[in-house]
Amino acid sequence: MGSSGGWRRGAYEAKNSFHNERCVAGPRWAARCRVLGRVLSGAKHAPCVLASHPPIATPSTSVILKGVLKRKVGLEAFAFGMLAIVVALLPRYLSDFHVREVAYVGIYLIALVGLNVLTGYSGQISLGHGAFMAIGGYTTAILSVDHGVGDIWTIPLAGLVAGAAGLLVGVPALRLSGLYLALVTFGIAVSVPQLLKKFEGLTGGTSGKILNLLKPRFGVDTTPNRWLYYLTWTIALVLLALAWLLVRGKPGRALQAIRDSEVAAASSGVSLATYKTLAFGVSAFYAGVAGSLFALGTSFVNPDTYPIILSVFLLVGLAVGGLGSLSGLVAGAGFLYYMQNHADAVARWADRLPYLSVDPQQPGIPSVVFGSVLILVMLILPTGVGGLIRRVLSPLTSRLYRA
Amino acid sequence: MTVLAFTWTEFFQQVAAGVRDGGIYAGLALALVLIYRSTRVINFAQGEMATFTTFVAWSLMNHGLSFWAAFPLVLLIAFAGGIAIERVVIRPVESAPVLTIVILTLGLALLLNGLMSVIWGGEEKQFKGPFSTRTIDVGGVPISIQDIGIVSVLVGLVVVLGLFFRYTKLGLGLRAAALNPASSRLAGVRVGWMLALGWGLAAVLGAVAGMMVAPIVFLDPNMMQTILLYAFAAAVLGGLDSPVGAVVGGILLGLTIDLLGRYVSWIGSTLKLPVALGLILVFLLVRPGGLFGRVAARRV
Amino acid sequence: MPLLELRGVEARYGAVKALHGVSLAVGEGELVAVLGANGAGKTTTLRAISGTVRRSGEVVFAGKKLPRRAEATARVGIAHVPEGRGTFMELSVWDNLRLGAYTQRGGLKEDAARVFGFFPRLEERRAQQAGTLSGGEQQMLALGRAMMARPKLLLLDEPSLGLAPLVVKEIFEVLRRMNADDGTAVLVVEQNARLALGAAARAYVLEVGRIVVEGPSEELQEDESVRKSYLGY
Repeated sequence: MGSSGGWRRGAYEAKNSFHNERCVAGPRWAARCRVLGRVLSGAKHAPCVLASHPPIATPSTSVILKGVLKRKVGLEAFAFGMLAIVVALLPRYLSDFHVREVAYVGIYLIALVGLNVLTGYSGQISLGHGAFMAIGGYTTAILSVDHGVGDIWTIPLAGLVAGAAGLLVGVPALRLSGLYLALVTFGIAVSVPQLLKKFEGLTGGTSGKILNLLKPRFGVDTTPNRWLYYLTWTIALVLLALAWLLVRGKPGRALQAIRDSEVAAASSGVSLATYKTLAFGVSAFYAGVAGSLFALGTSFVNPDTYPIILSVFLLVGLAVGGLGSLSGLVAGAGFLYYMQNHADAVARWADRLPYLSVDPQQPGIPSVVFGSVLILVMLILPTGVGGLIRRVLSPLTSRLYRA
Repeated sequence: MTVLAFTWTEFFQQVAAGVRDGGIYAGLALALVLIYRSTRVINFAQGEMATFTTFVAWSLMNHGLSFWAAFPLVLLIAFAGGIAIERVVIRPVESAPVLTIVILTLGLALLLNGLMSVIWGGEEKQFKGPFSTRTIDVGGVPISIQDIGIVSVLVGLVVVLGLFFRYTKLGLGLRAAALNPASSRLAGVRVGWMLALGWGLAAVLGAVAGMMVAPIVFLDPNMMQTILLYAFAAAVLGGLDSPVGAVVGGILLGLTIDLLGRYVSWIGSTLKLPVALGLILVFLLVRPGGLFGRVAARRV
Repeated sequence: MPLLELRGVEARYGAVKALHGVSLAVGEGELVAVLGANGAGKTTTLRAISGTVRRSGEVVFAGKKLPRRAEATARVGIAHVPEGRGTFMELSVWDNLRLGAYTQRGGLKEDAARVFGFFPRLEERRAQQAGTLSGGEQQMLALGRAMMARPKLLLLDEPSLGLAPLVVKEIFEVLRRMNADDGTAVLVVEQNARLALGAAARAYVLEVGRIVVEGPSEELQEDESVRKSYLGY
């Protein structure tokens, strides 16, 4: 009965939440905002419930809607094409060092795309994807150092091992939701570094493993950094396209159905267990690939290569990027890389502002900068970069519902 | 690791230490639950907020105040700080997705952590607690006065809070606002202020936990990070919605971890945390809503 | 001057307009009913008054413009028992009553005694969790909570919904006495037109967000065309 109170409250709140512009902006957004609310809170019914069902009844509306959908697909394909072109051209204009940096952005992007499948589409939350990255990275290290497997061939294997681990986690995750699941996945993030230290024989313990330097293959003549760049971004684009096909297709619809209502999905014949576990597996695969590339890029792994906070930062990237938007995720990945490695640049910039005196060298300043920037970004863009893009690019969809 | 001979005296000492640690987890877990109940958000900055206020206490004591003179001052500062954070950072995004708010608290944690390094430096500091570390004999078991003191302070705090929630109008308003904001507004409860008040109270709880733990572990900006994790686990174990659950969960967790780390040699200190979390996972699989939590019935 | 007056009030849920300029008045100590079919805007009318829905237009209470915040409405003496009764399911019956008196200073015991006088069953269950009460008891609690606020105006949303006829009779009897003995003005929304017209002095009939008929209850009851087209009996 306690739940019945909660349920009523949900419905009651829902009517109240119409003043929330973001909820009114469109069904896609409303669904997402509701899901995250539910996911992170563990509450079954977060606000926005009704907002996601504006009355769409007249035939003319549905015709327009179809047009909008087509336009959306077109927009996404366009964004993807633009990204591919930029990726192909960028190395011409950048120094070797900067190319390497953009390669790392690509690595984060792969991990974020995977996390987006899990959180954005199946509605499950993971605070443990850093651990899957670690599993991927160590798979690559162990295979290439101890078993002589050629470095780039370890990448798919790393993905598969991490994916298998993800499936394993996905099974208990079936019984847990929201923050309970978050804690369990966070537990994995915390445990993996400890386990890596414990099983020294396999992992090299605290000192870790040193990999061979990544060398260009297939007769490609370029620097190792550029090779890492092309490798990473090729994989990133392929995986991005695959993820897009996945979420556009039947599995994606099934996952969204589950996210919106487990009971309704199950009674329409969607197998909860299959799809929820699958989502975990797929997103862990992506994380494993990212971790593998990370290990290849740094030529070195130890338990600190994948710190516990990495899992949390991936979630930061997702929030900054905004769920479900490709360009948003790219921005999220860029933000993550930049703030982790160049907070001092922001500090130097802030030092020039009037009334502020910031010494970039002082310990603690990078944290202060990262924290403040993160707070500002979330205050200015509560729905992430993706939310902003959606609002700017699709005035038609929003106008439809604001009428 | 050498395995020492088992003695009952030592066992009870371990139990006392476990209850003490558990009490500290419980304090912070209670703070998490307070905010979770009203905003459905886990406050990642809770640990940093606690450490920050403990640094404030350290500064006050460095300026010649005694612990007990600094104590109420620090609680006041924590209360005001908690309210200010809610008003300035959380309020503007009240209707945003919960992920946004969680990430905001994370940004807050980073910011506070950095600020502490900037203001007080990163190195560890001695924090002189109010209680002597001398042991006294309790039924044949030597237990330190500090442990007894810490547990008493935390028990006192929980009792005062319990009475406050149960018997005062403000406490009733806080509970109502968390359970049913829409109806609370209709009853005339200023829900917005209740949320801010919740943050203030949570900050106070954190401050107390911080000042209790600092004499045991040294004071540095990262002091509360592991403890926050334990507190999160304790809150989940107890069922995130339940203050009683947070206290029970905290003490159970403290006991389990201390006893396992001491008596199961392969666990030792490195695997304490993974094992504890593993046990919680197993427990959650049996009871997905924690000890005292309600699992919402599924509805179509 | 009436106690409550609405002039051209509009209200919307997001894109959907639910009220298209509703004007109505409730006099001091008057019992007024709002009737209409599902989706006519009855509930929204009450919510527009208590400020729990986005509204425009003028709402004047006791000579002053009403602010559009639910807390503030409660503080000037309007008690709104919303759709679904707004019970605090997890709290005890007693705590629910205390929340009813949240805006009051003192007099808790006396007010509670009066509520218990009307509904002895609530006294028996004062320590019980409100969510475990039966539907009828919850409606009694909702009315009790409203009484605790000593309101000048009570907004009541479908008190008869889902209740047994005997309980409904009891509820309406208490409503009548609150109105007659304490002079509490009541604006009650009902689907059951016969029942509401029996208790109310005047009534408004809403259709698709507009008032289509208004008048004293007897007149509405006697007017066959009104009865047939709007009240359905």
